[in-house]
Amino acid sequence: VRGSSVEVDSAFVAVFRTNATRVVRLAALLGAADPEDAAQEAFVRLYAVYGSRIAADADAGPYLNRVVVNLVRSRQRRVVVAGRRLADLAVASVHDSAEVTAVRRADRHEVLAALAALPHRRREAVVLRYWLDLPYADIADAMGVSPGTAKSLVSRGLAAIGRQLAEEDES
Amino acid sequence: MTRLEDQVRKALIAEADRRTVDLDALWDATRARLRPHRRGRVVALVAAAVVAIVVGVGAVVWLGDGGTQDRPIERPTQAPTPPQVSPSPAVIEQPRARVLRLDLANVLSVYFAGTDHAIAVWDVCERWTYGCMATMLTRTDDGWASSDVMPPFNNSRFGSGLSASTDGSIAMIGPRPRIRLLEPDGQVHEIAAVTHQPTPASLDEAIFQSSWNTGLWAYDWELGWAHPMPRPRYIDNLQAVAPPTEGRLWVLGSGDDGYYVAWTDDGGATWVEHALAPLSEPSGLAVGPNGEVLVLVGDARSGAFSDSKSIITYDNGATWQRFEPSGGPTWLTYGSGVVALSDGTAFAVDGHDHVLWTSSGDWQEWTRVPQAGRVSSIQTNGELLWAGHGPKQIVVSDDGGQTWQAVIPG
Repeated sequence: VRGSSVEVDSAFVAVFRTNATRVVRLAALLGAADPEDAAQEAFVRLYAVYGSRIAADADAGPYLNRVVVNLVRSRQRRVVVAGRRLADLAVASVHDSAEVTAVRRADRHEVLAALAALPHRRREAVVLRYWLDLPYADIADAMGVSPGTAKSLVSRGLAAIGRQLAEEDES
Repeated sequence: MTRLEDQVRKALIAEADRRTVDLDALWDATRARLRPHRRGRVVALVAAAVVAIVVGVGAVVWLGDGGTQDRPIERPTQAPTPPQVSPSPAVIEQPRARVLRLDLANVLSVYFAGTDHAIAVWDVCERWTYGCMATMLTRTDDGWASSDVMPPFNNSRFGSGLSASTDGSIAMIGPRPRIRLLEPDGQVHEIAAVTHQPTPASLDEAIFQSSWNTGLWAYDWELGWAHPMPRPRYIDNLQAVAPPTEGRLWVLGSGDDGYYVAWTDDGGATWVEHALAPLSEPSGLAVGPNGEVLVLVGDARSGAFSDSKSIITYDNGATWQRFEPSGGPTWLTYGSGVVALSDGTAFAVDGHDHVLWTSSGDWQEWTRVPQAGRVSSIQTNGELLWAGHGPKQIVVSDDGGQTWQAVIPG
């Protein structure tokens, strides 16, 4: 209920502070239209089980990963996105030369575009693998699949990105 | 990791780093959506049921006797509003020292240590992508007290800063481009690099290294805080920065084609860079007082130190030679590290068996420092040594590693 005043102990606040930025960024990389909203919902769900299913001193990261993956996935099923939102071009460091900046910007754009073109599950696997550096067992846990499937999804996702980049190079 | 994997990884990191998160606003919005715990809801439902039964029975009784008796109607008292918990106080007071959980492949490191060793800030990362939490430890008459310091250092993959001042003031850097100045009394002042109105206050000398690909701030060389200093040409990601010695600043970092060690004498206007061997995984950088600079390197595939990719110079970088000492660490991993005190005594951590090693002179002969206990990270401000291995094994030495005091008794 919005506006309700719930007493929150400092341990949960610490969990929030530790994980919030990562959760928002994960939601964004997975293609959430509103990553902040997805993050809020993830923490609301965490709070509901915090201290019971998730022990107060346990690592909340895997649970949050799982929730964010499911939230983004379910929202993408419901919402017809008129045009897939490509991630904006990464802003290069001000220290880079113009030439280096241009090259890196193009590289990132192409990689992110190829990532955005992947089927959802491959995109999830690639993000969990290469952004969160998760082992396959943890990827499987977050996605609700077997480790073998997770490995396959990562491999296929990466291969698809490679093909896309190769095509870009040829064109 | 293949080139494609590295490309994907870098693109994801860059894209993620672009998204800044207003934690205060996000917390406010999240907190407004929180509902009481299920246990609390069950209690509330039970209480409501009891109240309903009592009221119902009372009503029956009251109606049963015709309602002729005057009975006071008990109104439920309104629950007191619970205290607001702010997610971003400058300092949250804690009665005793504690360090947040360290239950994953985490990194524990000292960020800053005042020279009076009254204050230190430790950075606790579960994993680098999980964000980090800074805890300020303060020595009191009653032992060590701790307080949480905002904000979490998100994406602090690499040790991200150092500073030493004579009055205990310390400084830190958070996600770009924010720099925070932490005073001994716990006050935190933000020095945004974009404001062009820096207030370094009592800092005598400070070098700041940001977290990921974000730059290097310095207050030396009359640079001020307005802009990051120019970085080396071939280094994109800074891994380590050594305190400047006689005006020379050394850094260690990686670029597209490997790792480099680099130095500047003019605040970054010009850099001299030296490439490390292929497949290097540097563990740290130690700069001595007499022109000695040691880069301890493990093999990127195995982590083994025995492959001897480490290099050392005794003439401030003019010439380099392979570093093949007698004794010393055998296994180097990120976070193990090597540091040097201002008197030239070096300390290095073995990433395999978590033993602290020390050497003096030309750093060729190394001996163990068993009195430090198990150590997985080592930091210094040139005078004090801080070593840690998990939240219950944090020790500090102010006599060059001879004796160690537990910050948090195990």
